Amino acid sequence: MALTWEIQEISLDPIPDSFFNIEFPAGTRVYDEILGVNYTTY
Amino acid sequence: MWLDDRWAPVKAAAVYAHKYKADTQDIMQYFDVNIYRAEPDGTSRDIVESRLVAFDGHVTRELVRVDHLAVRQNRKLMQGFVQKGFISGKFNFAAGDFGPFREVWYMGTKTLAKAFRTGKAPFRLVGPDVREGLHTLIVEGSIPRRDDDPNSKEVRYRFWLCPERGFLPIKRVFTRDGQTWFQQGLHDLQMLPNGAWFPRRISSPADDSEIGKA
Repeated sequence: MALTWEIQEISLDPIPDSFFNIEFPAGTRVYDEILGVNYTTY
Repeated sequence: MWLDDRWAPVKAAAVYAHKYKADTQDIMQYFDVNIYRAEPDGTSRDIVESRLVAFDGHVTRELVRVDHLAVRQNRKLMQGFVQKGFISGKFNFAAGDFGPFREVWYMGTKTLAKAFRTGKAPFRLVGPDVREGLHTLIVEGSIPRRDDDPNSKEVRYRFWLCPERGFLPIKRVFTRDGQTWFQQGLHDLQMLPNGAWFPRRISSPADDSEIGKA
């Protein structure tokens, strides 16, 4: 299967660590394996 | 992708980022992938589903939004998951979990440097080659057919490394019993401000005619 990646931007800017810790928007049903619970964000 | 009771072409557009904490085994990753329905006129409209995934070095957080009702079925519009460690192989990101970086610098789950040194196939220098004006070194690893297994095949992994482009593997061809089963080419090579080279386009098949056009 033919596959092409077109890389439009390459950034060397430092990315803050917080970038890798997304927050769920309100109303999201979440399964948290760490806590072992389901919950809905608000 | 199966949509509305028929097979429909889709297009993926993604933002990818990674950041090393210490080395290549200690990496934070981010994916924001949108899957669109590809229209016959070449445009792409109507997001089918989206995945936002982030691994902070300890935990993978994933937000899945499924806009297409048939694909969503009985699930909610948005679902979130928090899982321990890096959760691999579920992001609809065709090339794997390290994105374009992995496409360039990995062979399977190993970095090329490690694969060349410690992989199942011993690698050797085959010789020089010139591809589209770029001097390359061909290295090849091979796994011979096993005498005790009539179904085994001879496997060869061949890479064209380009010393004048930071040793980028500008072409790779994998064969089984001489039949190509995977090939890839790196194109539009660009030197980044930090002096490293990286392609702007990665293709499979390799599309030799475009290699080296920066």
